[in-house]
Amino acid sequence: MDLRDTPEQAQFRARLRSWLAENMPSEAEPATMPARFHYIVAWQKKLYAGGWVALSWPREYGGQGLGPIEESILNQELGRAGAPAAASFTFLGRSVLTHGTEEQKRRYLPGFLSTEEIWCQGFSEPEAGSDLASLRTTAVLDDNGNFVINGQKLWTSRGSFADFCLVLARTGTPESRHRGISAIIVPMTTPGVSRRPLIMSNGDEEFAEVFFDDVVVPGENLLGELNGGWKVTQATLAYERGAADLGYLAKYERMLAEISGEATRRGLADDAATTEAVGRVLTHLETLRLHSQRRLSDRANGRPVGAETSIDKLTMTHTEQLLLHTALDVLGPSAVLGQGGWFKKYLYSRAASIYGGTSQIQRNVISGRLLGLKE
Amino acid sequence: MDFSLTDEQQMLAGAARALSADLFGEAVARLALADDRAAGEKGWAGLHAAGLTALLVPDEFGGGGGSVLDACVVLTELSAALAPVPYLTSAVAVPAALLALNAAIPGSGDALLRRVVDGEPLALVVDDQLRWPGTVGATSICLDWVPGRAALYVQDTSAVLRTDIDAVPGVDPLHPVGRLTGPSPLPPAADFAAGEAARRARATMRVASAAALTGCLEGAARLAWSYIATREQYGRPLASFQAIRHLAADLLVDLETCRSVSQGAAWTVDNEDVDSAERAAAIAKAWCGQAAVRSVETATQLLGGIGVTWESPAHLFLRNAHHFSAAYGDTRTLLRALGSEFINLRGKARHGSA
Repeated sequence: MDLRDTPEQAQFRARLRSWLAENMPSEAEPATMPARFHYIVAWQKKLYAGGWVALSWPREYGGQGLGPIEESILNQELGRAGAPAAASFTFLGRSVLTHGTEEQKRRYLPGFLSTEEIWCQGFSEPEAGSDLASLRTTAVLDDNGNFVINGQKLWTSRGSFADFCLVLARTGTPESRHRGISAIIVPMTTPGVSRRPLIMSNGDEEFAEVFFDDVVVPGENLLGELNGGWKVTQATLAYERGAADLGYLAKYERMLAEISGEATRRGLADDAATTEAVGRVLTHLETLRLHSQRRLSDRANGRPVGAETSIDKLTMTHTEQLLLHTALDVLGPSAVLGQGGWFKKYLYSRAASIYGGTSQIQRNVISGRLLGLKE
Repeated sequence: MDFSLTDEQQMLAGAARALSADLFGEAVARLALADDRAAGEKGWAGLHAAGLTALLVPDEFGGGGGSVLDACVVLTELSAALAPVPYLTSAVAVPAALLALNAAIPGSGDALLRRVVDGEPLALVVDDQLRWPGTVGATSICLDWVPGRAALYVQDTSAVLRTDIDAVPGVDPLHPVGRLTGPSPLPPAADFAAGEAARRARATMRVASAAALTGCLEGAARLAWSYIATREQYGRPLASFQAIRHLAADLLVDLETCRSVSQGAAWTVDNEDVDSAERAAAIAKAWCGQAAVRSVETATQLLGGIGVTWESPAHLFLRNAHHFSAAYGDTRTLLRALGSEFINLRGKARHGSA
């Protein structure tokens, strides 16, 4: 075990630090969508131009050919500098990287990573939330070898802004469940695609409903094998759940510092209940940090990413929800007055135990696939 | 950055696990519960023969010259097997305290370090809040004390072995306690207690407690997982019920995060500056203390009616979890100190700029 940087990693960190010193955004992150989305995309483009995106991805597809450790150094340094976190949706590209043909990888990944082309994930449906394998959107191969897609997707993050959607559709019989699902790349400008923003409880337009009405896309837009879409989703979801891939730690630590500032302003810096609550959040952050490092190290040592990320997701969820609860506790009754900036963040934290698989689904994965308990 | 245990550490863990299976387990813990210490003493002799009891003592004294992380790896395995041995005290805390004394006054801990190498189990005197080196005037409790055992007492800045000790009741039969009967004219010197060597020793004790708590959690979780896989109600195994499966999953979340934080903090204590070491150890102990108590309670719940009886080992794990959570800095005190430090460092800066 050695948690220090290697000389190469230290050099990388130093280079990143000086780049950040020069390139930090001068304006603060906007509080509301869609301004926030455009701000994040602009920052992501700047990072990409600087060579700081997709560090662990192969160079030929727009990555930097480095390792998972460098990815975590990036997250740490962004946090240290108080910079916005790197866009949290790169996990979606993993499915193209893992299951795409050479042609697909060359066509889609550079635009994906540079955020010149925004992607969204068309997985969940009104009747297929946690039970994803019951999805009803259909894709039928016509005589010309094209897919004709019909159905509706829901809770599609970035659905209002996206250029492409990775759609999971039924290509098998209605009863085929996870064996009859295919992953298909659908340009959002294709005739028959329509979208409607879905306003979240905090007032943000983060999600959309996406409708597919006789949408025709070429057969070559199939990602992975026909009826092999389930495997594609598993790869994506495992990455979505990993704490290390999402630059959340830095964001959490910044929020805890802000909460500490609020506590100080309110004369609570020496209040026992407050110090205990802040200390409790801090132990969560540091535990999550070390746990992520362990996962990254496993990955750097060649262990594939799998079901164990459900543990990471639960830990991350718990941390975020405790953090925002603590914020409201520190604010006291004033939390429900005024602009409600913290309350908005609190509302968003309630989604943490839903997106990327609910906390209950994560526990199903842990008990079945990690503990091997028979149902 | 590499988080993995070395091949040697993995072998050490494997050896400690195999040895624990031979020497300890529920039957031996039950004897301790009945105040029969013979099996525990035999186990300690076995650990000594395997070279594990002096792992932390430097080579020059004939010890193992190992790292804090090495000792933590062993401690996790021993705790999972409910070993009624003073490993945390005698193989970790006492050598750490003696090495701190040596740093203050060279040679002052040498004689006792050699006794540790010879396999003599020693208790450690802490204050009545179970803190080491303890507040002036409040020093009195002897951790891991049984009749006939001497306890290391830091008197001013020298190592003194105390034998004027009476047994006092405690909740954990695996780790009995005593109390000094005589006066302590010169408690630990304040500048020694606040010095870097003593702070590092205290961090070592805390991170070792975190490793022990991780083992305690693991032992209880394994018990519960195997129980629900075999016990049937309504004609099927308990593990087939989702309410049960979700509780079982929570145990693994706690266990894996405890492993991460305790091992990462042990490495930090071995390799980083004293401020980082102290912070990492406090965080690890606070996390593992909360997780162990919570998860052993969950495991007890999963064991159902049998879990709340004297004949189930569940209460032994629960007693152990509380004992280790309380010693060397209790959870609540650690959380408050950590929170206070963070607010002063980060919140005040925010306050100033606001």
